[in-house]
Amino acid sequence: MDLNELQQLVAWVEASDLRRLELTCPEGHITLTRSENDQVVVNTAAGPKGPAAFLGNDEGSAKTVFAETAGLFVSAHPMRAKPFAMIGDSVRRTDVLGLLQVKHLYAPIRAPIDGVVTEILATEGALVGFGTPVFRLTPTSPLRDDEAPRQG
Amino acid sequence: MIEILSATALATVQDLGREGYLRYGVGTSGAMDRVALAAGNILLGNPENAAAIEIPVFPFHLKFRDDIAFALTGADATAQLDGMPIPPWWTAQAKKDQVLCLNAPNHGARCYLALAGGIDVPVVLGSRSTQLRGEFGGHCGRPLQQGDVLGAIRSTARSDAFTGSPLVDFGVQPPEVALPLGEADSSVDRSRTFVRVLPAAEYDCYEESSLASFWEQDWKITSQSDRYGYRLAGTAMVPKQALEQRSHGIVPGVIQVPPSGQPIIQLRDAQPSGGYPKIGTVIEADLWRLGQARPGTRLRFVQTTYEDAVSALDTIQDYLSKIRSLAELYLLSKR
Amino acid sequence: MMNRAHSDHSPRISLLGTTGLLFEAPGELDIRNQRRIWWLARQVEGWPCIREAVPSMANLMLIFQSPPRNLATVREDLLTTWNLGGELTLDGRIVELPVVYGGEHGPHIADVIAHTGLTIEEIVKIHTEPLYTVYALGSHPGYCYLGGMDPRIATPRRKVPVLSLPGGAVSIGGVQTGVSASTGPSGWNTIGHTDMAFFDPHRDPPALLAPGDLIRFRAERIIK
Repeated sequence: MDLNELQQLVAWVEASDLRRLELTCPEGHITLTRSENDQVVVNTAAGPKGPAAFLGNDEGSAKTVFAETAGLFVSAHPMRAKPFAMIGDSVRRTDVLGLLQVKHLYAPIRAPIDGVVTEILATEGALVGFGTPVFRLTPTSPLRDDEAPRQG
Repeated sequence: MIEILSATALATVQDLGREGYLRYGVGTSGAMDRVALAAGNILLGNPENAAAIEIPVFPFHLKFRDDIAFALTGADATAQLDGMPIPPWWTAQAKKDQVLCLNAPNHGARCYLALAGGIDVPVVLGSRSTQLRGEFGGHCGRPLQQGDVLGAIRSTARSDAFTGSPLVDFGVQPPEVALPLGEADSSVDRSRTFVRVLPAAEYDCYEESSLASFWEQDWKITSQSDRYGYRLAGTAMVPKQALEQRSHGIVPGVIQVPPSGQPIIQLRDAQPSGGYPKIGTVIEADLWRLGQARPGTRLRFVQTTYEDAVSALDTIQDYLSKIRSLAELYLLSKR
Repeated sequence: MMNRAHSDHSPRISLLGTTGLLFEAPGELDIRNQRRIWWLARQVEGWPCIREAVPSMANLMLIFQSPPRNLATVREDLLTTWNLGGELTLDGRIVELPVVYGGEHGPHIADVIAHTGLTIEEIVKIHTEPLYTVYALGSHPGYCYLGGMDPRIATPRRKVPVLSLPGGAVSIGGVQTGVSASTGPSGWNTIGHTDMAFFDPHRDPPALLAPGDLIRFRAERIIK
């Protein structure tokens, strides 16, 4: 079950005259209920892989960081010896993980969540396109409300 | 507005310098690393010559009294804004009451803090640079002290047209990477800086062995080195005969040799005229490298030609134009 | 740039990096040569490639607007203009400066005595005799380089410059004399002190004195 599928499910329930739908899937238990004002409310109870599993198209509890611009992947600032992020590093939300270079300009790749770096998917100096996965993080804090699937 | 929290002195407000008053005995002052100052302004959409703060002593702390965009260039001071790391040569948005901490760099000597709109101090004799000897210009004609409050000129440059929020959070390649000196590349050995020199009037007045030694030795930048000048230590320069000069005009970069034979490179706050013999002049295009060379590190002079020295100035302008275009394109793409 | 000995009969032109040129007049450091320098400065300050013409002691520093590609042409034009022989007579005011000689404000008077073999009274008499011409400003805001000092009291610049001298310090450096306009370092021999404000950045022009003005030192007191 990914976010698209969940949204589709909500749309179907809205279009029907069902009042309640319960569903168990690998990620956990999902309940869709029609409220008094005719909105479809989604409630989730996380399964064994944790709440992160309800997010996007990630495998398990990993969070993928995507390039927000095209550029050459740079792991360390040229004025520093140490890369911004190495595998195993704990990072906080908004920490710079790496840079994307366009000629003389650097755009930051920032961590979207608190987590531990588990994979570096881009090669040093390689051209990375917009939307390409560049890092994978394992979240280190519970999913916050603003990251759970919402009612449709 | 920003409030200086640090008690350490020597930070000054500078722009690119005060031109046109040498004939009144007023030296140019201005940033020791003018490339870093110009670049910081460019990143914020300021005029290149807007005033910024030059910080040569660390740690240095200040508090933002309002929300404002800023840029940090020059040496890598492992800056932190309320504990959040800011990469070097970067722009960021500060919020009211946030504290910026600049720490002692591992290499390089001076950091530049630019504010969106530029530091707001009066223009005196055409410039906002601090004239320390004359005690005018910059912030009250003196280095910054704890408790000083400085404002920024109001600017709407680089704000998003819809939200009005400033466009920040990007950086550029610093000149140490973008402007390498060919095979004489300091980035490999950070304890040694190469600068290009053109011979000056009294070059031929020195013994051949002294001239060979001038180019071949690693000069030590002594601790008596600052905005007025860098005093070097090494094998003394020996003139063919005693030289007593008439007073004459000099410019930043002139390498004087007093009777001791130990050269002094006159810099931004130097007297605009002097009477010691001049063996050479560090070219204007390499003054920023000197500005980032720390006391205790070594200096090597590289002979160059007038044509190459002029070309080096073009290379700097080219770099600054490029980062201006890149910044504008990038910010367009973010809107 | 080829450098020739200073006793040659032709001017010497040398580079100051890519920032400017230094033009040194041949011959004596005297008022006639200085009037030629003032005239030359007037001519070149209007040249498009020149941002500022800065006279000093029988020499002229030219600051480029931006480094000229045709450096050889600039040098030729400079020489040609100089060889026209124009002189500029600047009618200046006479300013009298009261000076306290010796004592704590004249820390190097002993070095002048030692070098010249003269007594302090003789040095003061020789120093206060002439009407000095302001040849140029330089060194620091408002500082005047004066011409006309008697060579009998000439004393070489100090081997190690002094880190801080107050504004108003009256000094001898080589064959020249001058008064500092603000606190700062100096390689000259300080023989006395005067109270006078020489510079105000909010005035136009900011300096009190200008090339062509005349200064007389008056001995207010001699402290042995």
